[in-house]
Amino acid sequence: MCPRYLTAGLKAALRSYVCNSCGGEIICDENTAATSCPYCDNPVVMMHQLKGSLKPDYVIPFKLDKKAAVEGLKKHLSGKFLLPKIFKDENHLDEVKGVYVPFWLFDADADADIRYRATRTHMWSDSEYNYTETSYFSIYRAGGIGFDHVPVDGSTRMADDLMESVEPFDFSGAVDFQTAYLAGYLADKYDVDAEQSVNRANDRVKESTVDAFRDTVQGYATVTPESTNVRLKNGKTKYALYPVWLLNTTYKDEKYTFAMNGQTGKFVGNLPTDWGKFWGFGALITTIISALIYGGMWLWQLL
Amino acid sequence: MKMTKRVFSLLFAVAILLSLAAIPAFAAKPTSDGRIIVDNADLFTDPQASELESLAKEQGAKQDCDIIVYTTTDLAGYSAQSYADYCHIKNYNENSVLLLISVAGEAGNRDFHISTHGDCINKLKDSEIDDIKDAILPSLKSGNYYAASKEFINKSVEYMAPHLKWYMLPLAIIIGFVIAMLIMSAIRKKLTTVEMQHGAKNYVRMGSMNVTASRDTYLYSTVTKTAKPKSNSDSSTHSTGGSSFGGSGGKF
Repeated sequence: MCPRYLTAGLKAALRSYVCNSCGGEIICDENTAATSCPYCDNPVVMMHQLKGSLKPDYVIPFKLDKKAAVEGLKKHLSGKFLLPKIFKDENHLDEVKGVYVPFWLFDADADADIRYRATRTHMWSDSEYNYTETSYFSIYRAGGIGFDHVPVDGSTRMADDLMESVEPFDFSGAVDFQTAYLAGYLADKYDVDAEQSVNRANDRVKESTVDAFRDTVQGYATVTPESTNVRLKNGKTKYALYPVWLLNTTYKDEKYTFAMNGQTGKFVGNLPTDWGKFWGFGALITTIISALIYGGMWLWQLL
Repeated sequence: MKMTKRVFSLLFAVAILLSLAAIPAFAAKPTSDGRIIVDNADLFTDPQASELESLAKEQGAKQDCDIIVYTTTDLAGYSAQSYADYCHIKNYNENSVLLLISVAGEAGNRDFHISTHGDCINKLKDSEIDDIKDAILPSLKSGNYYAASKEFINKSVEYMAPHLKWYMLPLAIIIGFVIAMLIMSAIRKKLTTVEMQHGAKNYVRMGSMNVTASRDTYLYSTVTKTAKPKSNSDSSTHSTGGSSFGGSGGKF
């Protein structure tokens, strides 16, 4: 028995294992590296999935337990005005799973030279005319910036946007990998290799490099990049398992997936909208603001 | 020296006399008895005149201003505008709006002019005066001066009362709706927490950023000038005999 989140719409090849503790048959897909026996609940670690090139360099151990994840969902649902009340009141968790998600970690050094066109404006007026003086500047910046351990989700099973949303992970909490950390949790091995993942990391590094140099251009009214040239040197690539709590609920036959960073507690997950409330309050606000504006028009007319 | 001074004062005196003479002699016209329908051209029947009179009084009281209809057969050589403005100066209080209808004999010009004075200048905008002119022109052309005058009185009061253009309410509702949608969308945004991240600023190696070249080069400047918006009154004015008036007229 595999966790339910694994089975939804997946055509991954299945593997079968025998539980060391009770002898029961455990059927899993080919990427599972750790699970628990469905019969006796003992943790099962598939050692061959974590050996050789599949051996992670680092692991960030879970700091937050299942209780914290359930608590996190409760907090996530509170204070959301447009969340349907029923979603909150009748929220049944289908499952809560602690998963070690495989991540590729990329180091990169960026060299940038960027040219901007910037303007500064100065306004004054005399009795008849308003004057606007626009001064144009050409701006050049060059330099470097380094990035460490930019993570990219190495599992096709995990939604990329969900995994990026629980970031950041604090790498200072990472330790050398040992299988003992996996006990009681689920774990996957990567099924997207480093070469395929590096592009996403580089895209993000480039974005941040451009942002960082843009921040050094100060004191202008407008700044537009004219030419941007960012060269990347990738350093070491590491393979790590990062802790993520996954929670599933069903509402009106639709599945909602939430994720919590097992290290920091950051909780994410999209929620449905109460459209009745949306349009109801939208109409109320429309009425109030329209009345204020129309009243203001009258006042302006009377004065 | 003395000579030139004397010549100047003489010239000055003559100028004053000439300008005094330039003001038409309205004193004889029957306006001092409080009537505001002055039918010198005899365009209204007596019942019509008294009906207009009571209508103008009643409506004018609402806006605290005199509404005057003045008809004449002779502009005494003045433009319709000057003639209408002089009617104001001579005969009525500060706040007034006047319709002058001038029907000269057989072949003469047939002019009409709407003149505003005092508070009425700002209460009746140029565009509104144009509306009134459009409204009364057909009646004037067909010789129905009574209907034209009635229309003038009613329309003037309607426009002088605080009012908003018909599209202001829909406009207010549209603006309200747009703002409401922006607010509701901002609230709804809180329900979405899953999205691809921008950049990797959380993973910048501490102190690794170094700027090796930084040049800000001034290129050139341009100056654009735009005329200041005119005072936001939508009523244009002119000066007659030292007082300021608004309004406009036409021929029929």
